[in-house]
Amino acid sequence: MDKNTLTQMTRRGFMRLTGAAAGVAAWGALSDKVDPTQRINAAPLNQKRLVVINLSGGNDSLNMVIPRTVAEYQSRRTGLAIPAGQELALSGNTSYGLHPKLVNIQSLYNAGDVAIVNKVGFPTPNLSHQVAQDIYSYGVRGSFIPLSIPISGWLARYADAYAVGNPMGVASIGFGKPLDFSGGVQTNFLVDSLSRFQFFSDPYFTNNHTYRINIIKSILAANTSTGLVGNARAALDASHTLSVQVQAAVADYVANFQVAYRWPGYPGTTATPPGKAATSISNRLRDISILINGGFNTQVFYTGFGGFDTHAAQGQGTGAHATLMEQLDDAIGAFAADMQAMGQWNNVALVVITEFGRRNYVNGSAGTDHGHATAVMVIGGAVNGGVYGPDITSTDLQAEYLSMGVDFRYIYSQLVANHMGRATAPVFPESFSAPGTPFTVI
Amino acid sequence: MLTKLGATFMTASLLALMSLAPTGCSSGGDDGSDGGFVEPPFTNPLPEQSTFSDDDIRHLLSRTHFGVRESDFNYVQGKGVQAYIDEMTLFPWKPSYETAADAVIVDPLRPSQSELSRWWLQIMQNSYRPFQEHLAMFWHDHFATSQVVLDAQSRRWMKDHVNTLRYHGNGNLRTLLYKMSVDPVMLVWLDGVLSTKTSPNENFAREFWEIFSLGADNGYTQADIVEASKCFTGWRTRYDAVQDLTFMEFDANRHSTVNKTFFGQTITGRTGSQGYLEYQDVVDVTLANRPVAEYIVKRLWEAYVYPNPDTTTIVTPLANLLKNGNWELRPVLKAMFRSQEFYSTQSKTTGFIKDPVQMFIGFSRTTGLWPSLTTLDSSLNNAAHRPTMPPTVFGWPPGDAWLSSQGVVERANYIRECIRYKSGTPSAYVYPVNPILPPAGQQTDANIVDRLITLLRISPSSTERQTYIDYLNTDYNGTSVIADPWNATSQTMIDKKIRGLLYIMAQHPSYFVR
Repeated sequence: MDKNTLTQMTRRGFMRLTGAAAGVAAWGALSDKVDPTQRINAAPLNQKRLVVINLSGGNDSLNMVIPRTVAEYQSRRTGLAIPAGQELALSGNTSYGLHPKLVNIQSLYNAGDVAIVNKVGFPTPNLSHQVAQDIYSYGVRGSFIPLSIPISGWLARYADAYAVGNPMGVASIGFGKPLDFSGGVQTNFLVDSLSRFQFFSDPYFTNNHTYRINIIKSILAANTSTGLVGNARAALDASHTLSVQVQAAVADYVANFQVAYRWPGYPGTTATPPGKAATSISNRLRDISILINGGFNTQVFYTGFGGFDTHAAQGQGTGAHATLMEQLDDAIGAFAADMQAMGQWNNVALVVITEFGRRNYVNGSAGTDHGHATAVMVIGGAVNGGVYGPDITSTDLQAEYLSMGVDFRYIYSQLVANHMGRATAPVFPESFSAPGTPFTVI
Repeated sequence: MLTKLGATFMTASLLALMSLAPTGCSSGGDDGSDGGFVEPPFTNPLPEQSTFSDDDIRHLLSRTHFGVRESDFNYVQGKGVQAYIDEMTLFPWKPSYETAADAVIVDPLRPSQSELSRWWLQIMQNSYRPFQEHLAMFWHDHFATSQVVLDAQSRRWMKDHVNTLRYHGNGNLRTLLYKMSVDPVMLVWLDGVLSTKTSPNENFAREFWEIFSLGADNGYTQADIVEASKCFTGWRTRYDAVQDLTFMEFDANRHSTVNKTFFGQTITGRTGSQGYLEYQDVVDVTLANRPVAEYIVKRLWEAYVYPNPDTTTIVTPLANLLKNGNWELRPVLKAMFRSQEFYSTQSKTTGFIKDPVQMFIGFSRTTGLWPSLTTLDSSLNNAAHRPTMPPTVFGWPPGDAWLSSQGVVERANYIRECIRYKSGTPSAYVYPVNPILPPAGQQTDANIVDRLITLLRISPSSTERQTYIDYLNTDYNGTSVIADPWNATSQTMIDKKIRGLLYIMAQHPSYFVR
């Protein structure tokens, strides 16, 4: 890991001192209009990237980042709390521990590459999955009317501001089209898996396939439809172009990279480590790794996985939630290994979010019901490691929910400004409060 | 009992009101005729369309069927649109294609996941009443419930769940809400089976209002949810080791018998085996005190006509029709499809991105080219739209979310499955392409192209049309291989060209919109 190079330290110090506006000047020079075809099989583009991982369903962050010294954590979570002593220790921090399955994240934390932010949420909390997810997706809590912009997701606004003309500029992997991408003008890259992202040929007339595809492409290129048909045209056109390039990137990764770095797990051979199997999140992060290795100029990746709505039989150090934690940890560990091998670890920042936290106490079904604030993790070589946000106190856990101490957009804005080097105004047009004690995660 | 009604077509709710055990509709024959059903009086609260152009007919079918089959178009043209709307909003009771689809499920007590989706897909494939399945998919999205929470001992419940949506989609909204509230799959899906008097689970109570009846933050509070959740307590699953099956049952000892107060109404706690009836109390109090009718008719309008209907001229009149008509849905459906507004320019030009079920089933029904049932099912799974498995309680993502890069590719790959499906030894095409060609003697290249354009209801420019003609007659390097009138000299050439042309045409952007 290359954390102490002069360049890196200089940039971090620079960011801390001068903030977002200077960041634009310093990092805005990177072209966002590189033709992906020119990058296939070349070295990864040396540019900043953001990866959003959504733990869909409302992650129980109290069992992810454990307030180990607060008595109510054990007393109000009988049968649910991670037993004292099983948490993974954080270097230099005795107040919190990690879920026992988060071994890779623990080592990344101890290397200074993980920022944990407690009590993240949004104003006027809402217990509905949909409403909470919408707020995260929009990046707007109130009405769009006073903002004088159409209803749109924050990534749609990001793409419209910073990835114009680049169909790979902002990508969703394995998550369909989340609301984060809605309402914009720019066509974005939305796939479930790279392996199926190709136009399979008709086996009885394989020699006719290219001819058919070329006719389709020629029609799409000249078609001038607008409205919904125009949207369909743009989506078809982009898919035909990109599927060829993406399959080249897959082949390149398999041929040149996968040998050394296996999924899920650790550097080694292509064999699956004992007890580990490919999961939805490991496949998705591997696809992101493939695209980065393939040289695509993608600035923001959106992915995640579901199952976090643990109303029942949530488990402790093992069980349903522990399995999810393990899957997350395996995937992030392998992704970090890939990025380090590509020399891109300082360029990527992962942010692990969820729509809301869960109740402070166990419910009658050995699970937890919907809650409010939650912990967010920011992970990457350029991250300022540590635990941030208001501490979780005894009083907090005596309440029903964790209250918001940090607006999620405070973190998102730092990622956009300090990491991506972009002005935040077009992306987060609604004002929000800074936390009582300001901090900088990256 | 059913034999007495054998000659009568009925809505689900009429049967329910008459306390017949199996709810559903009854048909005189297996031909889709109404069997002598007498239409009840109907007054449309919306201005009615009086004359219908051919385009109006195609518009109606493209919105309510899976694709526009020429035979359906001709039938509606002959019958008259208003009469057809009456007919299509009545659902047949156990027609032969439905009974035949039962065979997809080998062991009715222990269906597999894919058997359940294939069972429904085969009904969609063969139905002469496609609107019944179209509407059931609407309700399936509305009451989005997935079979993924079931196991081998309980998966049989999903067929009943789907049939409730199929039989009651045109029926009575109160009945539908009743049935969904104690539907076994729903009770598992939203944790009703874990909800007890000592620890009521809020999940179902919240979604009941947020998604099923009112919309998010529309007239209820967290305190209301806590109260209503007590009404739903008491359900549990019981595993029977002898039969190796799980059963759903109501356990009075787990039911909260206290009085519950929400929306300014108090539900007196019911005791003993009567406790389970409180689910009806929640539905009744909600219908009586909150704008459920407005929410539901708006959802229907936005699924079939266009987004954001006007409150005064559309939502309120339709909502009143629903409320004053004892929550019967069929009059609302008739009012929508017979209204001037349904055939307005706004309705026709706004359009909807077809979802994968609409596009896949539609392509195959109109062209007659199907893949195997297994491939149809896996293709829909790849396209993230497998019936019986919505991703979340919010259903499938709406509108142009279907236009993801992956979604576009999966659509093309489905068409490829349709045009390539062969079986047997030596392998041969299962579904011939020849029947969709114009009759012999009329097979000019332009006639063939125009016929397929009509069949798929796409709108290519004249240049694009010429490109299709050129594909038909030439080969890779532009060399002319077939003369006009079209004289494809071998079946191989016919298959190559016509199947290839369908693949090309199905990727015209206009084919993605209905």
